[in-house]
Amino acid sequence: MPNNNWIRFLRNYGPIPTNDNMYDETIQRALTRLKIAPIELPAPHLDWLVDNFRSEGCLSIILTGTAGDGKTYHCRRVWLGLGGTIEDWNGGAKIQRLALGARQLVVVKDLSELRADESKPLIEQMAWDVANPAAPRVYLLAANHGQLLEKLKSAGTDKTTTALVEVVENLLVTGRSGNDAIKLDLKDLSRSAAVVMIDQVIDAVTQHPGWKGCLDCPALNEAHCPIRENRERLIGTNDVGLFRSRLGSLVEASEQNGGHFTIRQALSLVTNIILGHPDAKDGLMSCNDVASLAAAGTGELASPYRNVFGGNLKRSRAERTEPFRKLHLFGIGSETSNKVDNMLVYGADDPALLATYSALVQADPIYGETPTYKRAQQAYLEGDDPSAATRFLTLLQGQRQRLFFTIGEELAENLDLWDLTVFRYAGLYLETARALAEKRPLPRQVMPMLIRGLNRVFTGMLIQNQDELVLASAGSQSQSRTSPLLEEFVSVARRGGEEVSLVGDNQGGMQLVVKLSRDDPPPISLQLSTTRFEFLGRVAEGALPSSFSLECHEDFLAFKARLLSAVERRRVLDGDDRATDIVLKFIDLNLDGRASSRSVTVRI
Amino acid sequence: MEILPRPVGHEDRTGPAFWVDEAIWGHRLHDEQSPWLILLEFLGVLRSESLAGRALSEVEFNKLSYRPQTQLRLRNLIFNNPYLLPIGSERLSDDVAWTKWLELMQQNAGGLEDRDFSYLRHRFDSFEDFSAVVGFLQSSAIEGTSNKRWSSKFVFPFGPNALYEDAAVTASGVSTDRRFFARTGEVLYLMLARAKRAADLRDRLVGKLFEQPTVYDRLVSALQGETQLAENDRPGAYLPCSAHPIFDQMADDWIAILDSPISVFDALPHLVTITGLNLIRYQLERARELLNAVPITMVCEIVSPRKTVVRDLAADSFQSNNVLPGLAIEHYIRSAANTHDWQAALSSDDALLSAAEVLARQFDWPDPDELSSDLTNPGVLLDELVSRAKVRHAQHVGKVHSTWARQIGLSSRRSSRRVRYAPTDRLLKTLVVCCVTERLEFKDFLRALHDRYGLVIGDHQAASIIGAGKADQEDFSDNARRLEERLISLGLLNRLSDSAAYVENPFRREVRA
Repeated sequence: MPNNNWIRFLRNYGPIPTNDNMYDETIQRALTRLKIAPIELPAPHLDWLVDNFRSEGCLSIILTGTAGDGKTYHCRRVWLGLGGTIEDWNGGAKIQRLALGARQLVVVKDLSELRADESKPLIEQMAWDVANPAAPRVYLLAANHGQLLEKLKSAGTDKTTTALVEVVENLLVTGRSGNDAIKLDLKDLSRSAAVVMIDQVIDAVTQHPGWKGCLDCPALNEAHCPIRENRERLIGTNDVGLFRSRLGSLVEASEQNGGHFTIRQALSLVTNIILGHPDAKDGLMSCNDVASLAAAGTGELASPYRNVFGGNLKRSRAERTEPFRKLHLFGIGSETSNKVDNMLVYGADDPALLATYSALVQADPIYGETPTYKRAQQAYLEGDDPSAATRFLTLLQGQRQRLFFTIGEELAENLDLWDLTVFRYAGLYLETARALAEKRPLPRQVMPMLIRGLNRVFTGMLIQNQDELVLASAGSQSQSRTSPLLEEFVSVARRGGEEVSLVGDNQGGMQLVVKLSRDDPPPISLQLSTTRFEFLGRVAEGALPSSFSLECHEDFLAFKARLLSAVERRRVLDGDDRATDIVLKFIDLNLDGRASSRSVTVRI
Repeated sequence: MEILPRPVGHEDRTGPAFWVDEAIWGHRLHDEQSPWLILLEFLGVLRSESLAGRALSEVEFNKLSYRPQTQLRLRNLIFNNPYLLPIGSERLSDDVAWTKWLELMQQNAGGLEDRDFSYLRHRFDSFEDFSAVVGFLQSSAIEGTSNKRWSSKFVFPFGPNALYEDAAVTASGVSTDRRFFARTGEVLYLMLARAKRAADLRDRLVGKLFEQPTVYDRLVSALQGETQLAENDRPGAYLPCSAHPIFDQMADDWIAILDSPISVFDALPHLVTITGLNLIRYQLERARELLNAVPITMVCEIVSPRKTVVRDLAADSFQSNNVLPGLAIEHYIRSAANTHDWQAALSSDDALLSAAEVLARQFDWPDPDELSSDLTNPGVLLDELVSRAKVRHAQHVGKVHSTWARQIGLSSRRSSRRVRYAPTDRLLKTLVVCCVTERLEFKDFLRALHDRYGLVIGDHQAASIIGAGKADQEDFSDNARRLEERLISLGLLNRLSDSAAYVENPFRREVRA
């Protein structure tokens, strides 16, 4: 019987009910028992942390993040990095102490483990110490957001503690401490760059020495093994890393929408991609399952492309479980695209589509044109069997998911790759974000599209202007749907201090920045998430599905309100003479759909 | 429970036939006056009192008497002027167009002695310009799509010149029929005047609304010409209690909204919404005080795609609150029978007449000199008053809770046959603006909503319901989670992780950004 300990171990990282590998502590025990090398996970803040604690004027640090971001892991690595021993660490004291030159480092790997009567004196002591540059103690504290706040707020109400709580809250919410006298910094691990992280997790799992165990597998050369197949595909030797880079794109787009992936979720995702199969126990294959699944002829259900979305799990479960819940939001599989669907349905018989079909579907006999798929396709086209349609449409979903990860860059534009997702402009969004990060010119269509979308939201009219921002108002509330009065045109290209531009935010996202003058009023900016970008794209295109709630609309109206008050301020600075007649500028639509203004004077 | 004496000294012909609803809640809460119109009536009172140098301060309780503006020229131009489009489409020369229009107005303008609008000609370069300006003011009117009579339509309150009172304009002249300005704005005015922070509020309101005339206010003024005032003062406003926690709450809410870094025009819709909520609370709370019942709560369902336990509880909560004012009325009248006066009347020689006098003193009914013959004994008298009061209550005051709750987005029948508390996004946003100065932890926000307004959303607030076995903790924690999701999608909540989230005031955050 083939059996690789490593795969048994890996399986525990997947979305299984017990989820034994949730905690750093349990993992350490399992590793020793099974004699497996640990998975070397990315610890992006490790060097920085160790350097900090070695330096003379070091800061106390609070590590926070969502459960599964690797807080304990970081603490342990820092402990070892500063000369602590693994034995002491495994001793399991809730508060660990380490001599650090003349000072003492106090490490609490999980604040929530402390009872109130333990945490209260600790926090109060810490509040004193961080306020005192010559304090004999520095701290490394880890806790997830909720516990951190709870513990802090249940500590004392004296002045020093309150100051500490305030600084922590500021750091959490705004990222700025607001009080330089407090020697404290906070690292929110949930704000690490996700794409890099997911790539490292893929490497850590797929390149793990444990895979060597497969070489001893009795079935190594006999049968096709979906586990090894999926691993190969994820490594990306045959597709130049296309699969993993698309996966990275999805993760990135999700992060820019506030859908954060923790390290633990990334591990769970990667494990599921490799081991997922709906007929296996808990939806995850072990070595023993491979032969029986092959015998049942359901090997193709192990498709890693379905597994990305938890297709191997029960639907209700996948919808509730992270990270699949976040990935579900993209609607990949259920979103349809005419071009792709035509190819998938008629490709085999239509000469015009055949070339694409054979490259994208026939070329993959394992998860693409399998015998099952071919039969279902034929039955559907012949239309004799009413149940055939349902069966085929289900398979179609899996194929759309597969294609999202396998359509090469050269075909992506032609087949409108991102039409396979809810976010049709996400591709453009990511491309733009990358261009901004690398200081390359932006894709040509981006600014005109965004400006046209904004103008339509701002005026409530289907106008075409894309070289200038049309700031319109309703005179009364800024929430009005239509705004018939022109307040100002703002040039997009830099002119007289005015400019509208996109600026990268150093975290893979972007902001739209509107400048009205060289210095005062200061520029007004708006973070463009994937959803907001999509909203503007759809509005610019002229159609907006109702699934985009009012949230974006409200956001943009609030943005407009800020722009309008900046315009007002500029007028005051320019010394507008308001004592004379009233001039109202009404927006007129020209024949070409561009807005122009018509002034109406009212004499007082 | 405090009930101030009814104001005397004036004969109000159209005044109430008996003084029951009014004694409990004031003169008066009226369902047909929407929260927006309450605000507009309030602003009219505030303007008049502010000119008299006594904004939001009462010299003596319930002696308010003010002179509202009528601005009938402006209203004819905006809402009684269906000639602009037809004339515009005839493509007449500018001169002919003006002449024709002036003639039409001369014949048809309502409620004006002098129907000469020719002063407008020199204010505009062309008839077309004039037409565009009127169109603009029409489009920004309050509840502009309503099919109310033209004299009950209102321009957006751009400033002092845009304020005027509701009126009935007929061939015989202009009269105040209190159809849509039914004095609820006066009640609101008295409430805010009696709030602890009345002075703070006054400075903000007067400063923001009246002392910095906006360009649109000047525009309205240019159309109206000289301000027109009503012919008489409007006395008779009445609010039964000299102080109430809800008055203070309302003033705090108003101040929070006005202190937000948004334009005062954008603040107005929030004021309207929170005023509606506090007035509903006031109505229920006064009823509760009379009945000596448990504190008012409103179980809110955050709309879920499927039927939930909370949905049923929210509907029950709505129903039980909805009948409260009716119960209060009966209780209030019948408690007259427990008084010493009533007992004395019963044992007097002419028990019926004495009892009628006792009732008349408290309720202004019946007229002891004209007792109808079927009122045979004091008990019947009491029953008759209860039944009359209930009939009258059901016409308007009894509908206040359900009508306003719907109008401010507190209640809904969405995907259900029963009305329930199910706050809309608009209301939620207003609540955030009122409760959250900068940021507040989500669970503290839930607590604030409960402590201030009695809203029950999360499991902590629903502890007594859960304890009584009517729901599981999970039902309410799911409800709270749905609120969290809703607030995220409204951009009002910043979730740091599953365990911690901050509700953020959107306007403050933007300023910081």
